[in-house]
Amino acid sequence: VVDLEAKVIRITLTDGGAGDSDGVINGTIVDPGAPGFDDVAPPGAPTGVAVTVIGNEQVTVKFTAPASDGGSPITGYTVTSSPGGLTATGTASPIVVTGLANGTAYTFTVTATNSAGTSVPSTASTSVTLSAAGGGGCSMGLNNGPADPTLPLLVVAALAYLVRRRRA
Amino acid sequence: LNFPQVWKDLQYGAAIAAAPFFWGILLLIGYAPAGLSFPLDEPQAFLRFTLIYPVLEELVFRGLIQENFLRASWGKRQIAKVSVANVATSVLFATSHLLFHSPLRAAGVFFPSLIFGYFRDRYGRIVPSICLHVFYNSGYMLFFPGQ
Repeated sequence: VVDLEAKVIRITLTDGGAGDSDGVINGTIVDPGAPGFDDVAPPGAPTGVAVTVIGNEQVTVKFTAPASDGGSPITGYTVTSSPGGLTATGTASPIVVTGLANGTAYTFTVTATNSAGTSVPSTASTSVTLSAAGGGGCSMGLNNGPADPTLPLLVVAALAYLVRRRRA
Repeated sequence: LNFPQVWKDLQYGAAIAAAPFFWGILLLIGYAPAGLSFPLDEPQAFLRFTLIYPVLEELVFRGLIQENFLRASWGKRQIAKVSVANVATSVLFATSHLLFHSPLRAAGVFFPSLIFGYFRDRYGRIVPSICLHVFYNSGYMLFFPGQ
């Protein structure tokens, strides 16, 4: 049995059975032919790494799959931050990286993995700096931050204003 | 909204043009453009900050609060063509942002708040302010989400 992904060849040889007392196990090893192990290599490096800050301590990393999968399907991607070496994994773009430090400038690289191994890292993204104050322009609340406790109050006050306008 | 009146208003046009100018300054001081994909990556957050918050905040601050302040005699007074009601409302608006943002950033929203309030006073309605607020936030969330 040849398992290309696990790089294992399991060979079962059978003796001649009852009456075969020559002490020699008989069998034949057959080269399975292409694709041989040498035909599978780690994938190429992902390209086009782009980072979007989506909120407090987290970013989305987008990238393009490598042109070459190395002869074996890509099983996953790993995003690594610099500095910090924080990693996040996924099976496709985009991948969200959490746990980053606000106020720190980060770049990110992406590697692709298949059964033969892991690619070299992609070219690093442009640098982004996260902010604890990340939010919506002139508005309250934070991107993907904790639920805004003021939102229900805003809704009630806005409704009160609309009701008053209607009655006026 | 009386659109013809608004679009013929040079001051309103200047308020719209001020936004790209401000975004340019952010780029110059090191804010990183985010690749314009935030609306697709985080559609709920994008809508929250470009539509829901601006509409609610204008209803509450320029509608409920500023209109109440304008009923008082002190609120009707003007400083450099800006009503005291507008200034007081903008102070409250900036203060409310301290719940989420740094003092510097919260103070920073005082000025766009003055602009929103100015056009609320100018038109006697809040729709022009809502449109400006939506426009300001949309550009910010498109170019600099999360920053």
